[in-house]
Amino acid sequence: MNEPGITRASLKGRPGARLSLRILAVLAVLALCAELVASPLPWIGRVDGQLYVLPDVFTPAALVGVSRADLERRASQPGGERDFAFGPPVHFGPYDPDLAADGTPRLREAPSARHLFGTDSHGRDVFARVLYGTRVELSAAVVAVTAQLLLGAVLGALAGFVGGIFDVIVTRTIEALTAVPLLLLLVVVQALLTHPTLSTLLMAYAATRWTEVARLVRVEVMRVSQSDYVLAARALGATPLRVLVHHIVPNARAPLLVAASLGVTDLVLAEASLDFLGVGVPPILATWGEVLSEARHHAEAWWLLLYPGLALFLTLLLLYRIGDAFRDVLDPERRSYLDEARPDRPGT
Amino acid sequence: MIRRLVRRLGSALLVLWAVATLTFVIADLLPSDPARMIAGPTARAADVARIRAQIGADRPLAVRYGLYLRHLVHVTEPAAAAAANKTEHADCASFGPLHLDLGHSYTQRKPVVAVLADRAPRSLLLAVGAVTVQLFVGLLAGLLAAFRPRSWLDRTTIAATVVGTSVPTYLIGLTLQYALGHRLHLLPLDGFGRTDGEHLVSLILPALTLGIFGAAYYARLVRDDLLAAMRQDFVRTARAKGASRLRTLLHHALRTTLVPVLTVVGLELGALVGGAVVVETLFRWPGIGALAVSSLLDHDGPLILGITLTTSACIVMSNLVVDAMYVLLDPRMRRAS
Repeated sequence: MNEPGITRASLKGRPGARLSLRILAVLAVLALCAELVASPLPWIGRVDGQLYVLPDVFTPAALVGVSRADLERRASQPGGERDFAFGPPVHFGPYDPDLAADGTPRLREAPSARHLFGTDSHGRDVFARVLYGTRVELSAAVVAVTAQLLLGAVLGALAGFVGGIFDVIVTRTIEALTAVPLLLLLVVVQALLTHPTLSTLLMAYAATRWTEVARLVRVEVMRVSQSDYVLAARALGATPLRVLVHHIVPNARAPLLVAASLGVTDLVLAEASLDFLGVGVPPILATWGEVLSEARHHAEAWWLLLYPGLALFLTLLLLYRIGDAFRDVLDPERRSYLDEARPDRPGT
Repeated sequence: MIRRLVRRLGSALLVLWAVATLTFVIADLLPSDPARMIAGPTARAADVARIRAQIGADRPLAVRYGLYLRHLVHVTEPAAAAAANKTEHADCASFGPLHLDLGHSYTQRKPVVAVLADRAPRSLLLAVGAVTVQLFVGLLAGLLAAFRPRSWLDRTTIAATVVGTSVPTYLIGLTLQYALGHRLHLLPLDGFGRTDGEHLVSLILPALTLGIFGAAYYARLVRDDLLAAMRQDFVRTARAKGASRLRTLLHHALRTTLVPVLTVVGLELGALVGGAVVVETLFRWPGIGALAVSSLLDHDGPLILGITLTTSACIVMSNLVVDAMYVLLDPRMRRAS
């Protein structure tokens, strides 16, 4: 017997949550197709007489590292009369600095018609960096939270189901890991690796924050194990494995979803903070935290603060709304949600 | 009740031991040579080898772990310590016979306990400032909102709490720094200042930054709790007996919200002492959090160990204190245990 989960109907009375989900879906699509919105390479174009279609997808060798200015220059040379480039709305990618006519990069230019959100300290287009940053944030969140859920669900379910000394060990480990603040732990791990990348960051997050998921799942598993239908199933001769799979796992879905929504927001926050500090991903990657860290040193370049800040704020707002809606539907009395106060939220 | 507290104390000590082990393992994995760091970059290989033998870095892992634990907390007779080799206890912080030794920092060339003792009061100052902001603004906003539910004030407060709890703290910090520091030139951009007055002025921006999230959270918490309490029977009785709405709010309903608020205050203080890494770095506030990042980038093992241990100890202790306080403040808990 399964308890009701989240259905479309249950979110019907919450227009805020549905709108948030829709906006988040749009953001995810934007993140996937970032090259189609902002890239130096066109959707379709002819360069030096050769026709290229979607070069961002197929990456032909001749167009590697080429900027839009290069393409325009080649078209204006003899032999390039039939050259054209029909391209994305924004002609800049997140990695290449925009050079002025004399070859110097356009550093920290205010927003203009050429650069919608201005340029950063290396001359790179901020709009492109914010857009590509969406990709990093969302994909990081999905990957890390999946790993966290798997690890936490397995350990929590085992602890709740098997009990005994295993349960004690798991609970004590959870307490010890929770005593260290998340940001400090992540900073430690990233700083001691010689080549910290996004993947190492995500693995570190999953390896230390499975504790929250495990806590929720363990409580839920213990609660469900005592319920009548499970006892009846055991009395009828069901093996523990069957009970686990058929009865306990479907009912543990609720706290998993709640923990997932919380985990995603925590991770986005933590990752942005680490990028801001400079110990997250390599700074060449376009993330919001990285642009914000430049804003710190150049206070007059307000566009370095406003646009990534808005993006970060909006994303977190969306995620919190969705998480709140999930919690309202699945757990109205907040009975399984133990650490509401969250004084050690990442990002302080 | 005493038994319960003793059990919690034992559990806390166990957690501290686990954290100490975890940090030892992490510091051991650091890709750096402690002997080289102590000797300096221009030392000869023979000197480095000598120092390595001296600090025991060439011993096996288990021996090093044992030495580390033994040095961490040990008890010595004061007279014996004076008579014994002075250098053996050079890095210790002594509280009577109890000695605490967190090692020697490579980059700062001082005992770790000295570095932390230097920095901790500043982090504490920031934590106290932040909690003050949170309490005042949060309680006041929550009270005002609950006083006239569904008024425009209430609705504005709710909207503000939604915004306040979704914005990352350092984003608030950057914005405040830009608006109040850069644009209006009202407050210093960052730093600590030299005199006591400058300290307090420099405290305003970081404390505000850290406090806004908490204030939004408290405002919402207080408002919801107060409204729930106002619907209870005891409030209705008080009103029937002639008490004004304001008096029931302040005198009767507010007490029910104080306990959860105070417990969160306790937890926040504990978490903020070592955990305000980003805000301290942003405002160049010379506290423990800012030290964490720099010591990690410099691969200063003992300092990292010391900071992580201290931060976790603060959190564990604040949890303990909050638990004890909860039992004292709420008579129902006393009877239950």
